[in-house]
Amino acid sequence: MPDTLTRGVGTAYPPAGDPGDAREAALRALAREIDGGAPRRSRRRLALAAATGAVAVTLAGAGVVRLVLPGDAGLPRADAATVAALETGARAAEGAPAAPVLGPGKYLYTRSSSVDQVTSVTGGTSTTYLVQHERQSWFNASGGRLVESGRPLRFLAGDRAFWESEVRRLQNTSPGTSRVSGLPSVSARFAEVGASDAALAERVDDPRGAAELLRDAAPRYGGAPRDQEMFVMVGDGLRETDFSPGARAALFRAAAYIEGVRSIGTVRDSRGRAGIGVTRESDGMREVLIFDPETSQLLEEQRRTTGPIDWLPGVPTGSLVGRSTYLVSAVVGSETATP
Amino acid sequence: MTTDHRTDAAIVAESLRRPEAFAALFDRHFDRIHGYLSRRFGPQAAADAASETFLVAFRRRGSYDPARVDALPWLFGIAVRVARSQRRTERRMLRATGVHDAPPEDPHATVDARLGAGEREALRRALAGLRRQERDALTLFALADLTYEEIAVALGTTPGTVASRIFRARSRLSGELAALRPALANPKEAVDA
Repeated sequence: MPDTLTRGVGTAYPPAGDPGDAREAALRALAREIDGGAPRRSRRRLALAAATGAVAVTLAGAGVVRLVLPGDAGLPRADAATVAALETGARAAEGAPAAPVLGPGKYLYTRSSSVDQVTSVTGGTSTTYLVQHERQSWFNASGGRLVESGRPLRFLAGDRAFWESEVRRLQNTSPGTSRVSGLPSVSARFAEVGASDAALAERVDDPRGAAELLRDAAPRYGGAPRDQEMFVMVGDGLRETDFSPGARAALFRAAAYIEGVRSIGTVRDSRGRAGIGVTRESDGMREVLIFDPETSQLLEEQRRTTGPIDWLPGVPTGSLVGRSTYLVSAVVGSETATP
Repeated sequence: MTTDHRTDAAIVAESLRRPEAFAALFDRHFDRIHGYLSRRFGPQAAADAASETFLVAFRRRGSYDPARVDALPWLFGIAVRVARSQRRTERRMLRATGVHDAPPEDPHATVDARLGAGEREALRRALAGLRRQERDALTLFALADLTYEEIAVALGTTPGTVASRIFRARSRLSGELAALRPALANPKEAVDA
């Protein structure tokens, strides 16, 4: 133990200062270093090396140390690893070329592939099957069009007829294909609820402000609990949208202020692509967004059970019950064109 | 909330494969590093130096000794080296009269209350006059609560040398204070600490 004189040395110095703003600034600087400290090829190699057989490690090893900074005004910030991971996405978004102005003759085309576990209960009998969807979307400022096709991957004897009849009933078209036109774009929907591209982009360097914006908009956007809806908005805002680089970066940074969001590090998607995963758990389900650290593009979403779920009766905890993999994104010249 | 049970060494090792893992080390130790630096060099210099400390640590993580479970002494060592350019700031702060009186809630208030204004002034002057290596060792002991072994790791020397530096520092401080407070002038106490 220090003696009287040595303890007295402490009185010669001022008390320790509040680390609040210094911590934020230092963390941002560290995140930039992590993001840009290694040459791109090396970083990719690192990511691939980390992803090889290491998913379990990254999941189990992702520590969460929640910090509430003075002045956070009720918005708890995620742990530093998560902030750093999201900052990587934000930096990649900021560095990406600006999205072209979409309008007549210019549509953002996205193609994705999804697998979902679906359970229907009819007449007291529950039927569970996996459905693979291929989804194509075309959006511009005035709206867009979706084409989805699906087929059951695995089903019990007799389920195919049930599934096909359900598809016919729900989609009123040929089995397995849904075509919907006149949909509002996600960015237009965001603007409706008060989180426009411009409003987000204005807050690109104010993550708490961007999170507050989402927090205010969330109840108007959807009916999930507020933090869950904020996470949904982040996911929606990163896929199939023409948001500007600033708005996308703001969404990444705002995600650090959504309760329960955390990084799971570098993971591979179902196509073997390495990306950074961020996750949030809610009501027995863990949702994961995997993004490309070099482009900020969403690579895949995954949904995995973490407990019993009413609408998936009998599904064991830990089951992967859904994933959507984003394969192609490009600007095309019409609502039917493909790259 | 999940508690992270990994050792610092494990986090550093993981950060070699997955650089963003290094942020967990930042979470654990930033406040202590910043607290130490802010006491020695003031808030502005501390903000810059603490940030630089973690940048340097991240860049040098490849040379981290995995046998050292606790990375805090390593980080303090980097902090001390990063902050060397701030020595003049520290000396200016120490020589500034009456601007650093501890507030009532300061944990050292009891000791402080026993030091009169003249003694605190003399102590500051004496601290400002210490050799850099002595002041580094003494402040890591008195402000950062590191052990001699941890200070040795931080400063890249041996615990014996640390003890010697702190002994010399205390002797100098005691000499300055002897006239004002004979009871405090007992350099042997630090060696026993």
